Amino acid sequence: LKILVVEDDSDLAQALASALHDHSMVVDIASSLREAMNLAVDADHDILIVDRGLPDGDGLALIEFLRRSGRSTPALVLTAMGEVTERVRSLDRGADDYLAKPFSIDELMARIRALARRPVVRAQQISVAGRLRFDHESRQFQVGDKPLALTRRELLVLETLLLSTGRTVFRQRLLERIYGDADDIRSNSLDAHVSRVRSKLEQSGAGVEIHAIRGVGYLLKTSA
Amino acid sequence: MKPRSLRWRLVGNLVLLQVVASLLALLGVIAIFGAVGRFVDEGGERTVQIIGRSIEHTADGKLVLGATSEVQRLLGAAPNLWFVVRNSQGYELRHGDVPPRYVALLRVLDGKERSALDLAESVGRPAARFERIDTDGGTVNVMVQAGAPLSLVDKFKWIATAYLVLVAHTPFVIRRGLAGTVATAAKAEHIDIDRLETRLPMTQVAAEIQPLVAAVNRAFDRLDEGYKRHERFLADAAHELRTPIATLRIQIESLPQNTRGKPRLLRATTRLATLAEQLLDLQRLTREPASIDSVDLRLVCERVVGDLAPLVIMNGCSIAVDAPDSVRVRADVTSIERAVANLIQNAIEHGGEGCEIRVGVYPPATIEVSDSGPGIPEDQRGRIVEPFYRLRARGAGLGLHLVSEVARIHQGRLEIGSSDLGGASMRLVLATITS
Repeated sequence: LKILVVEDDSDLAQALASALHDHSMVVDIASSLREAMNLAVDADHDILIVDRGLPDGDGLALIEFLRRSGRSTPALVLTAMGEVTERVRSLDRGADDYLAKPFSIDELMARIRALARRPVVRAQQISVAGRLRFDHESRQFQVGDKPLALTRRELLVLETLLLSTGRTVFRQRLLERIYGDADDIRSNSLDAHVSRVRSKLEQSGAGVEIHAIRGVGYLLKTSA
Repeated sequence: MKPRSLRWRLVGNLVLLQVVASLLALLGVIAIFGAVGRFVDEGGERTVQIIGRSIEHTADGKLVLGATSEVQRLLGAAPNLWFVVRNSQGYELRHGDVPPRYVALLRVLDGKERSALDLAESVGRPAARFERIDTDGGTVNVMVQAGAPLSLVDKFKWIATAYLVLVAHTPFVIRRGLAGTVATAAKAEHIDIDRLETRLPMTQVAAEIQPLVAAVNRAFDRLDEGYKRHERFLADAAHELRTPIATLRIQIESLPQNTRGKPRLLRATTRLATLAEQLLDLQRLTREPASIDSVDLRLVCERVVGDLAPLVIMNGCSIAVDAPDSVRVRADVTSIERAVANLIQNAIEHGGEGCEIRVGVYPPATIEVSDSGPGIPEDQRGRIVEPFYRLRARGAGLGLHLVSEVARIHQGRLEIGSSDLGGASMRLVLATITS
């Protein structure tokens, strides 16, 4: 994956770059809007990580500029936490997702994975968490080298959780993924599916845990 | 020392002035009247009345003068006074040296009601007065000499009455004059740190007080400006902290997994980040007006718990939402989100490793965050909402202070108690304007 980081604070830009590099990503850094526009036009990035407050303008201007020139490169905006209106504005102006500063690398990677999944980019065919691997092409889970046997619904549960590793997946979203628009949505059967997936992961030593957040949803996380 | 009342000072001074001025005027009048000899019953009207009231009829139809106190005072003050009284039977009562021509005249005037007479042709002042008066024993004709001395009471009782009315109304007049000032003071009571833009109205106060009000308003302008500058500085400072904290966090996370002290470094960074956010949130609360909308508290809590679940799990705790029903209220969604987030962060901070956290939403408008930690001692519950109050040597930071501010702008309250999970229970109770 090739990523363009647009961030004027050189310390943060370097830290981001080296963290992304550790996850085998190629990183370009731009410290101003002008530089970012030049880089974004010339090179073909898979994902943009854009800070708002740049010395020569708002990072959202870059995204608008790219959208006008017909580029749909996924853009992740770094915003302030809790400022709902700012988040909404970012999304309205063409950003695909937002991340509040300060953020954890796990969170950043989860968002990058989610963005890279979009139809525009399917560079990464395999998602990994702990020893658990998921091949998007063959739709197969593996723990280490061994395939993990799952029913169709268990697989949908684990796929959904894996693609949001480190983030909460709300019950409603899981139910929609598993049952689609079918009439036979049985909310309590979701818990049964999850608990079977959980014990299979445990038995195979996948190195990931599924945490229940009662009343809200589930969260998959690599074991410490 | 109790300040002296302006109103009563004005009343006191004015009444004193009125008393002194009136007394001086009165004394002046008495002196002038005394000097020119006109301090008397010029027309004889009072003298006739006094004599008329004092007449008594004996059984055989004669007339006598009763010994009333006013007659004695009159005769004492005017020893040379003459008068003559005649009734319908022709009996006459004379006193003093009655000139014979007035006696003759009295008989002529039998049919008249009243008259001022001057047979001596003196200028301005009649010499005698004639009047018919009804008494218990029938109508009598009275003729008296004019110019008898008057008592002070008689001369000045109307002036005195007018004067008392004036004095009695002085406090009311002053109160009306001060009413605008009192209303302005009431307006000043509404100026608060949250409503710095309020200014005192200039229209209600008198011209003399306007400079004071204008000066106070200008002082408010300067304070307001200074306060806003201060607020902006704090907000900017907190905002500027974010980027270095983000850098620090990424660097620490990128350290090899087995680096000594990595978890502690991460925790410290998290606290630093939380503090910067809380500072920003507090500034936002005071700077921006709340945008009140219909909010489903259950949805808000689910969203916040979802956001914070990774942090909860990272700290070895577990979290659940207990919200049997939707609870819709009118509230500012951003500040409610931040309040719930801070309550959860507080529970993580104080609940310790492995603690259970439960976020409950109950009608009519309560959000309760309980934990299974050690709880909060009863004697510290009041103080824990103070900024940076430390409980068990761990900073509560600004979290609970922020929550109580959110409660305040929603006309609600933060209740601190103990929960059935064994630890603390924080209840954010909002005003129950359900929608």
